[in-house]
Amino acid sequence: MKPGVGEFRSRQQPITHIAPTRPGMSWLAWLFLMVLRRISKLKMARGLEFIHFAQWQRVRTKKLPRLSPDQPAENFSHDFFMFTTNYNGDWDQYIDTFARVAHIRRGMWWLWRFSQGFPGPIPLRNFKQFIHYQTYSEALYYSAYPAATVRNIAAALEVKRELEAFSAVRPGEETPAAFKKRYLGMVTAIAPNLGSAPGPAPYVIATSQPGGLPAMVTYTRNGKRKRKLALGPLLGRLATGGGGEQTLIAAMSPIEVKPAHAVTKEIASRIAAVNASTSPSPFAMCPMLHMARLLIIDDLRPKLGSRPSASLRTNYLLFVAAIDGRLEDFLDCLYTADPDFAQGVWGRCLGYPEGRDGPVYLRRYIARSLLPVQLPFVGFPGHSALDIRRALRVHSNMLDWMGDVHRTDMSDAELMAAWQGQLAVLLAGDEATR
Amino acid sequence: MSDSAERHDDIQGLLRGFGMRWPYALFVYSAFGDDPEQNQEFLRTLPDALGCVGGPTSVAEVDARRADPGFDSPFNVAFTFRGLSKLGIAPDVLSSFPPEFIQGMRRRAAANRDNGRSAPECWEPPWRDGTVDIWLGVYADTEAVRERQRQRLSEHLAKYGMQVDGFDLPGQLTAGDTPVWLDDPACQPEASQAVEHFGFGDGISDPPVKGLARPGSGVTDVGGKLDEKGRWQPLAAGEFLHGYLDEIGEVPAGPTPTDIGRNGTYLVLRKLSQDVDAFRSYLSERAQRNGMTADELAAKLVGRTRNGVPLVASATADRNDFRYAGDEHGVQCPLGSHLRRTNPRDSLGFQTILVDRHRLLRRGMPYGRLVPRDRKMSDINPLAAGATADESYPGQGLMFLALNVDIRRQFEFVQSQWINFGNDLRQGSDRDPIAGLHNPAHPKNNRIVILTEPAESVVVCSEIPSFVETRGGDYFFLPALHAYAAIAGGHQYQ
Repeated sequence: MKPGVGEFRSRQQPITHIAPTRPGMSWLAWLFLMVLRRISKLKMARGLEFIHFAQWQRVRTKKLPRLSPDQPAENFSHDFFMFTTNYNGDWDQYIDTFARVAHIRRGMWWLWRFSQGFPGPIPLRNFKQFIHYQTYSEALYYSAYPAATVRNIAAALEVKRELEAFSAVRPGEETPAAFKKRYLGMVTAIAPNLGSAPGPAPYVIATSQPGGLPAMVTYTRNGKRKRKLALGPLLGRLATGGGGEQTLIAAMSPIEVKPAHAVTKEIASRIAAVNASTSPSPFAMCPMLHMARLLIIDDLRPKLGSRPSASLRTNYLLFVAAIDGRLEDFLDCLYTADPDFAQGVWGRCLGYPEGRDGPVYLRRYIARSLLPVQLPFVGFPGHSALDIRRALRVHSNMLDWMGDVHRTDMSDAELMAAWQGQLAVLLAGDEATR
Repeated sequence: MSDSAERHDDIQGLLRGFGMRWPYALFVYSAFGDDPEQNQEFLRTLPDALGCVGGPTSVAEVDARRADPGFDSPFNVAFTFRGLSKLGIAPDVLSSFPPEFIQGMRRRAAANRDNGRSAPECWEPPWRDGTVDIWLGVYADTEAVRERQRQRLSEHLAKYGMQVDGFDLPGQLTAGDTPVWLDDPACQPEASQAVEHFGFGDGISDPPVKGLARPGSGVTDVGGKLDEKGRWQPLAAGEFLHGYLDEIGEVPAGPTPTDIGRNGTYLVLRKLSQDVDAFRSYLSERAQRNGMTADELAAKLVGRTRNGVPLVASATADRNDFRYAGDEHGVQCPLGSHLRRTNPRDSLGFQTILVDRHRLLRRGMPYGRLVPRDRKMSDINPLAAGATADESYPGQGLMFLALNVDIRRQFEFVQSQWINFGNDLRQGSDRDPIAGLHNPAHPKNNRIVILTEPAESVVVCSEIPSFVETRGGDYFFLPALHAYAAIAGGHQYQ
C-alpha cells in the first residue's frame, strides 16, 4: 500500500507498475513507445513538476533473462508493459492530475491502451484500482536526494545559477551602491525560489571515481568475450548536451526456479538489512547514482478479475536505477563500495558465476539481465546527482544568508562587506565543507 | 444522478450556515450510554427538548424561517464513529465508513501535523481522551436564548444519563468599534464585517456549491472553479454531499447502503487557539526591521488587507472575484500567504483543476472576545487574570468547522500539503505563516519570503512562532435528516 498524505518517509515515492499487454498488442506498444521517444520530449511530464524519473518499457516474457541452463522458459501468452517512476507529493493527487488534465489524460490513455484491464483515466476510481492492483512493492528504494522535491531541485539549480552569475563580478570592480543595486536585482530574481528545502541526505558520499578496477569489458548474452556489446539500445540513455548523459536501466535477474524459495528469502533478508541499517547504504557510496530500487518479483499479475494464463516459473530480482554516465562505472563503484552486498544479492542469483569475486562479474551479469527501455524520462537532464546535491547545499546556504544577514536597512557598504565575507561559504556546495 | 444539490429539506442547515441571523452558538460534546435503544430515544426526543420540530434544522427550514422571529434557535447534530457505533447500526455498515473517519482526528495527528503543543496529548480533556460521541450545535439569535437552550440541553442529557463533557460558546464577531488595526487606522474593518481574532475580515471566500444557493440570496458563482473559458462556476455538490456527482463526474465513495450517506457529509471540527499577543508582537518587530507598517506586513502574511480587500486586484467589486494569473512570482500576493495556500485558485496552472478537488466548505466561528489593539489577551480573559471559571472561559480562537465529502482528499490534504508544506506553491518546506503548525526546533524553516512591491527588495520573515495551535477536535458524520430519523428510529441499515 502506498503511503498516505503526510506519511511518506521521504519526499519521493516510487511506483513500479507492470500490467499484461493486450493480446497481439505487444509490438504495437513497443512501436508506440519508440515513436514517442523520437517525436516527444515528454513536456507534459516535465510540466507537472513532480516526476523525477520515469521509464516505460515493453517486457517480452519469452525474452526474460534466462541465465542458467536450469532455468525454464516462461510460457505466458502475452507480454507485459512496465512503468516505473518516482514522484513527490500525494499519490491521490498524482493520479488525479493524470485523470483531470485533458492532455495528460489523453497521454495516459495512449500509454496504457495496449494494457489489459486499463479502464481509461476516467472513471477515476477504476483507474486508481488499475494502478493499485498492478503496482508491485519495492524491497528497497534509494534516492541521492530523498528530501528534495522536483520543485526544490528546480529552485536550487536556479538559485545556484543566479548566485554564480552574480558572483562573477570580482570584489573591487564596483562601488557599494552599484553592488547593492545588483544585489537587490539578484535577490528579487531568486525570491520565488527561496522556499526552504532540506539539504541532501546527511551522509558524506564518495566523490572520487573508483580506481584500480578492471578495464571495461563487455560480453555477449552467453558470457563469451565475443565482441563489444552495444548496451546503448538496451538502456534509457539520454544524451544531454554539456552535462554528460543519464542512463535509466531495468535489470531482471532470475533468482531461483520455483517452488524453491530459500534463496529468494535470503536475498530479501539481505536487502531488508540494508533498509534497517543506520549506516549509509552501498548505493549512497556511488556518487553517480540518482535513484535505485530493488523488487522481488515472484509472480506477475493478470488483469484484475481474470485468471492468470500462466505463472512465473522463476523468482526474479528487478533492479531499476537512474545513473550518470555509464552503467559499467556505476556497477564498478557499487561493487567496490560493498562487495558483500553485491555478492549477497546478485551473487546469489541464477547464472552468476560461482565463486567469482570482482566487479567485472557483476557488470557482466547485470548486462545479461537488462530489459530494453523504450521510453525514458529524466526530470533534470544534464544535471548529475552531484550537481543536484551541490545546488541543494548552495540553496540552503543562501536561505541561511537571507534569514540571518539580509536586511533591507543595511547600508550599501555594510551589505557589500557582509556579502564578500560570506561568499566562500555561500557558494560552498561540497558536502565535505559542512 | 445529478451534480446539483436537491432536497434542501433533507440537508442539515450547517451546509447553508446560520450566519448573522443566529450569531450565537453553543457546541456541546457528549458521550452516549451503552444502551443503543436509549441513545436512539435521546435522539428522537432531542428536537422537542430544544423546542424544534421533527429533527435537526434543515437548509430549507433555515431559508424558510429566516425572517420568523419565533424561530430563535436552530440546531444540528453530528456523530463521531465512536458515537455511531453506539446507535445500533449494523457492524458491516459501520465498517463501510472510510478509515480516516473511523480512526478519528486524534489518530490522524501525524497526517494533520498535530505535534508539539498541538499534539493530541495536549488537547482539552474530551478530545484528548477521545470520549466524544456526539456534537450538538445549537445556534441562537441572542445570548439569552443560547443560555436557555444550554439549560434545556443539560436537562435533556441528564434525563438520559448523559452529561456535558465539554462545550464551547463561539459566536460571530464583528469589528464594531473595537480597534484591531496596529499602525494604520485605515485598515480597520467595517463595523458590520465579520472578523476573526487577528483582526481580519472572515468568511469571504467560501466556495459556491451547485444547487445549494438560496434562490434570491444574491450568491454568485464567484470563487468557485474556473471553466475552460475562465468563467466562475459553482463546485459540484458531490464535493460536499454524499449522493451527488463530484468534480470528476463520479459519485464519491461513501458508507453503504448509500441511503445512510445521501445528503450527509463529514464535519471536521477543530478548536484552534489564536495567540493574538504573539501575532501582534511579531508583526511590530518584523515590520520595523524591514521598513514596513505592521498592517502591511500582516496583509502580506494573510493575502488580504484587514478589511477584506485581496492583494491581487479583484476583477469586479466582489472581493472574491480575483485570480492569481499575472502574479506568478507572488509580487502582489506572496506565494506563501495564508489565502493563497488554502485556496490557490489558478496558481497551480490548468485553471483551477488541481484545486477543485481539495476545497472545503467552512462554517467556523470564533470564540472569545476581541482584543483591542492597545490591550493584551490577559486584560480580556478573566480566567487568565485569575477570575473564576464561571465567568468565562479563557482565550481567543476559532472553532474551525469544515464540511467535505472525503476527509483525506480534502481537509487532510489541505492541512498537510498546503498549510504545513509548501511544495505545490514553490515554498519548499515552509509552512503557512498564519495557520501553520511551526516546529520550534527548526525556527529558520518557519518563514515566508515576501517580495515588496514595486519589486525592489525581498523581506524574509523567519522564526515565525505558531500563532495558531490545535486544542482539540474530531471527525464527525453529519447525517441527512432522513438518516437521522432512521438512526433514531432504530433502523440498523443492514
